[in-house]
Amino acid sequence: MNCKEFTHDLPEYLDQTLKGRRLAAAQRHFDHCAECQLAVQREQAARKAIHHALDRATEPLSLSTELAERILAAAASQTKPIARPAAPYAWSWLTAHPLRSVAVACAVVGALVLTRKFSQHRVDASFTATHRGCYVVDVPFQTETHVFQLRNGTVVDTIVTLETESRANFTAAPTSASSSP
Amino acid sequence: MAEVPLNTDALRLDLSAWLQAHGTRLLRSAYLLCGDRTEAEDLVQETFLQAVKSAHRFRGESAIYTWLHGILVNLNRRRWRKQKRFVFDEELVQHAASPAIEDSEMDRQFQTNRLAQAILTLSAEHREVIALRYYEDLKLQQIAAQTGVSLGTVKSRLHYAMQCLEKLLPEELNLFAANGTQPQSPR
Repeated sequence: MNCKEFTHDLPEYLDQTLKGRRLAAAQRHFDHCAECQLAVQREQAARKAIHHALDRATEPLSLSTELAERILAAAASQTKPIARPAAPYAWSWLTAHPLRSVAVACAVVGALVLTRKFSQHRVDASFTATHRGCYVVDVPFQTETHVFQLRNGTVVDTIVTLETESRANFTAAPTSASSSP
Repeated sequence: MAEVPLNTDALRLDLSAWLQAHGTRLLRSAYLLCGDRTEAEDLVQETFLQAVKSAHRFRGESAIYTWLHGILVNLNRRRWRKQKRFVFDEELVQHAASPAIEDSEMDRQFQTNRLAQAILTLSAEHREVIALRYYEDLKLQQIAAQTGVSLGTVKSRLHYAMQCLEKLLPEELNLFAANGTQPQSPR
């Protein structure tokens, strides 16, 4: 074995993982070569120096209690599902599929719009109070307001169709005293 | 393969013991591997969580620290691949190489700091091989097994890592100079 070959095998020689003939040859060369003996010394010195430097560089680091607790908490949640308040069945059903949620949301919005429109169908009490015997009925999806008049308990006729805005200016047709809501 | 249900109470006990026994050493090793304290903490957390997941696969053939450290090295390598932040050592050498330091300025502490800084400046692969070889005192074969590369690759990486380190260090700190950098006892 020459110096080049020994240098190539030096890490394994130091690791004591060289075997058989290779180890015997390396040992023979080492015993008789001052250069390679020095190389081994340098390698060992470098190893000590690096180990020492890395020890010093990492000395200030230690596992904090906070980090340890964070790890324990994370591990606990990993092995055992986090206890969450039981969701109501309807909510679970709703959130189970995204499309279902969207469909339900659309249905709710539509219902709100329609409710608002149809709610105008109701008799306007304030109007009725000031216009005795007359009832205002708003027709859904139309801007007109229909005013009906009751005579003797039955709707006599549509007496007028007017814009909602002009409702305040409406003057009811004269009604008989017997007209009642 | 179906996961074996874990005994969480026993695991919690084990984990506490592992944290106490190996947490700090792993954190230090993680810091050397990734070069950043916050990332090192994340790496250690991931390591323990991964250990909890695969605890049933640990057969006790190696020491617990060796097993945990193996997980740490793997996670760190996965992190590299994600970040893809490889920097060539030659570029680092150009930026980090500094002029030789006056003898009067040099004391043991300074030399040690300088050496550690230079190691932390190396590329991830070179830093890894240096940390495993000189901090963890692993044999080349063990490094090859932990990093999943051939023995030849480990040797070659170690060789180039040391070359880069020499370039990063001033001549006075040359590890392979005739008088080499020797760790000295504190004054």
